[in-house]
Amino acid sequence: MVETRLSNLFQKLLPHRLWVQVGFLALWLDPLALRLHQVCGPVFHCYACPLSAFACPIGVIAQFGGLHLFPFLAVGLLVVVGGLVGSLLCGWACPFGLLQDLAAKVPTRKIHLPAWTGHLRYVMLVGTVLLVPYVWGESHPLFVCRVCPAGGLEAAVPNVVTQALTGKPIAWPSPAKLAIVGAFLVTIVFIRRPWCRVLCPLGAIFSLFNKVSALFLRVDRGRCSECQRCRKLCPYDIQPDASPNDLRCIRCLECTRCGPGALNLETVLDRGTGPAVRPSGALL
Amino acid sequence: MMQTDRKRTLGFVCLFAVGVILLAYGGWLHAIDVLVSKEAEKPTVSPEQGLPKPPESVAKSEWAVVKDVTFGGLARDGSGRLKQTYTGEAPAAACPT
Repeated sequence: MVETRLSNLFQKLLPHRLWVQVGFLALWLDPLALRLHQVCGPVFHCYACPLSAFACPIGVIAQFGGLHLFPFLAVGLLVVVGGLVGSLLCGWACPFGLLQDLAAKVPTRKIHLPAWTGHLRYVMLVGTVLLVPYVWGESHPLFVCRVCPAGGLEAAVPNVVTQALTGKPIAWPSPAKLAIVGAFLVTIVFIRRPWCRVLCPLGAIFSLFNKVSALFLRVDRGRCSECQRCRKLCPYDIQPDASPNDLRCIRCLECTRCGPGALNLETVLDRGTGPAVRPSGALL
Repeated sequence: MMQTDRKRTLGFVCLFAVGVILLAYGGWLHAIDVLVSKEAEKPTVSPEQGLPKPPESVAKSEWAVVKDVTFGGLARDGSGRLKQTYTGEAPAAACPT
């Protein structure tokens, strides 16, 4: 196994991943009030949030779809970022993911989700982001922004608070939106990253690139003792030794902490050692 | 290099190229015709010809259209043309969703 500078860097950062995510907030929360909404950010953060530097790519794709326009900039950005790092930004930079990671620290018994729930992300993507906007437009109740908990938490709630504090008439969110936000806040305490794993359309897009991205996880079969410790380390019930670049993976890289160091981050510029094989002996 | 590595490298190169092309086209070449709402609602009559002037449309860059959609600043009118939902510099209300 070639231990690259990149894998060494991430090994050093891994214990501080939460702080890396917090650091990225300085980028997404618009500390300089630039409000660069003509640019899409590559993370899930509502553009109606008072503290948003960039536009949400999912919202832009849906809005363009509603207007029957093709969003070259948003799609191009997602293809470039996904092609480079796959879903790495989900695990290391997304503010909505950070919120869920923080909530997961509440000491409750965690519910494990079956693997098939990961497919619902694609239903969400095709349905509420592509089909509904294109066919019925932005006013449809299932338009993605109308059911998005990020919009509810990051935009609707701050706007209601601002209106209340400034004495303006309060524009309350719809009962459906309030229910979605409430359900989300409860769920994130009992399930790790439920939005990311079950419904996030942006994660659904990035995950499609995991198998072909320039940055990827490789299993060194020479070092792997098949102890399956990586499976216990993975917070999202994935089997990294069998499927290191799984579509459900958010590339938090917790699995790379396995004792033998058999799982490592590599790029297309690095060379692996020997053929990659499954535990059964079949080639990967 | 292993077969899977070759496939991965080729896949990445193709995807990256496609992404860059999309970004380049959207960022520098793509322009979208948008009707400014004031002109769209009040077609003026040309005194010389006695014929109503068609509403003026402005070719906006995709960057500007991205910003407009974040606060509901664009919509299709009855004839299917894109129109701005606000006048002047002030945007419409916050994202309508």
